[in-house]
Amino acid sequence: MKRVIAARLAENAGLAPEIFRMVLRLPEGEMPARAGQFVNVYLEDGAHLLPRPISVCRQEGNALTLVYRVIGAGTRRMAHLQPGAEVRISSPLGNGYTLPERGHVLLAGGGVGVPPLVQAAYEAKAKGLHVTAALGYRDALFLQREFADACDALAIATEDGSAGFHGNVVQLLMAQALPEDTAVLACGPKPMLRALQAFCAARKLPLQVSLEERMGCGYGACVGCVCKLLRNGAIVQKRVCKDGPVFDGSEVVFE
Amino acid sequence: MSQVDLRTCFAGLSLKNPVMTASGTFAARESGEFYDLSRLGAVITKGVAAKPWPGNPTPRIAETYGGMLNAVGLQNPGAEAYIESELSYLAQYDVPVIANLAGHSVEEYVAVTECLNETSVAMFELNISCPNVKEGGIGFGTDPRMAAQVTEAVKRAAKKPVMVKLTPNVTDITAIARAVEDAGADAISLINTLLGMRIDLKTKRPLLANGTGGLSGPAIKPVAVRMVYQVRRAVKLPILGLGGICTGEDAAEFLLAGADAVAVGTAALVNPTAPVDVVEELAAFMAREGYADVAALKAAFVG
Repeated sequence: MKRVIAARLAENAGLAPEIFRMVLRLPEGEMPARAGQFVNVYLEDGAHLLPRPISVCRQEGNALTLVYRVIGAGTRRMAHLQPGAEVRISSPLGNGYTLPERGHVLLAGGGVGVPPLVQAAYEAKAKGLHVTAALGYRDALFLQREFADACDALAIATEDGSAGFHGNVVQLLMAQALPEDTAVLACGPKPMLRALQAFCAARKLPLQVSLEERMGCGYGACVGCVCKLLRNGAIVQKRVCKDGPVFDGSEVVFE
Repeated sequence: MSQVDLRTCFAGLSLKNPVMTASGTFAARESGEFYDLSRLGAVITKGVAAKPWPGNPTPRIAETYGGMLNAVGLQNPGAEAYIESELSYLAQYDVPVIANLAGHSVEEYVAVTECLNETSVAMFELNISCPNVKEGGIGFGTDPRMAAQVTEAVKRAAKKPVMVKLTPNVTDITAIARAVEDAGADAISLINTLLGMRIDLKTKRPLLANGTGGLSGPAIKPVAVRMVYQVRRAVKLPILGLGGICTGEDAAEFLLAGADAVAVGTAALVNPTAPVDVVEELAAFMAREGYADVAALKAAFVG
């Protein structure tokens, strides 16, 4: 059964402006998370009732790493939690990425969409796949060491040109030749994912995108976080939290 | 806690305990991943119409102090898919199912009632109180004459008991309660959400794509308790009390106010096991206070 567990906060520190890394120690025997899944972080302050759904950046044994951006009062509260604190989180939720059996994997991340690709990189590496990461940042870089460790090749783009390619991830990829057997796993802002959809369609590359939406429960009960897919010529609605957050990039309707 | 007897009779249904799930916050498979659904008094499923409804655009959810706004707009797959998926899945559990019925017109409410008459559903909950649907829904719940009209029509078509869910977005909820009682309702549930709004300070737009949404959660509990108290004194029908219940103590407050059973809604989004936690906490509260059964607790109200 899925459940809400009490984890112990081991680390919680800034990686870049407004970007924080939280390492949680889980009780023994908790279900390991797959790349692309997320956990609900429950804040329990009486005012902010809804859980914050945060993607899994890395899980090694009973150490769960979440990298999140402070965007409002709830995530600011998360950033103020001190090591040693008890943090209530859910079991891993959502479907996660599906890695190919062989060939090349391209991890395309933008901004706070970069963190879940760390776990994907390590899982792909463990499967013996050739892993390339193309990561876009506004300015400050984060999680570089992890990608350098897990990937065969790493390309960086920054919007301000302070590091790597001057521009965004899709512009960066335009300049590269990709092997035909490349599977693209992406997470980032909607404009980036929309551009990637066209990019992959033109090259006939399979694309998986991880979507973000304002969630209520995070486990599929409230139907607050739907997205639209175009499937067999008809629009269908799927819950981002339960049916996703990872969807076939060729099917997603970006509005 | 063996000395506490939580068994409850509600409008002819025999329940293990007086705690149900609130419509819109419960999905059989998803909630069943966190706890054994058979531990509840009953489950109330999400609003279902005769034909599928797409619901509202996103964002549908916004957080507020001590609560949340939602504007899901009763997205549902229609009665046929509901029977095939939700109802058949619930058959494995020993728990009565109450189906929340949605419609845009009297005819649509009657149509979904007829679709579900020959199923395992134990009771209907007529949703005339959703604030997020333009036609029907709350339109029926704010006018005593229309509330009576739709209740009467559904009651005539229904082969199950009919509970009517009331909206708090009215000047006098007792007028609506009396109207549906006179129209033949078997029970009343209250309250649905309070109409609310939030504005994004960055974009200067409403946070919800629908503009407005329904406020739920502990923030609305005092309003709900007050309305249960008022309706208890206006009608004789069994009352299902809901609105912000998070703990067993919250549930006890509703029972004291005059509810015969309670439902847990938004709390289940905040804590997936909240409905069964409320059952245990209610039993613990009653044991601590020395009430042997629900009737004894209800009788203890001094007011």
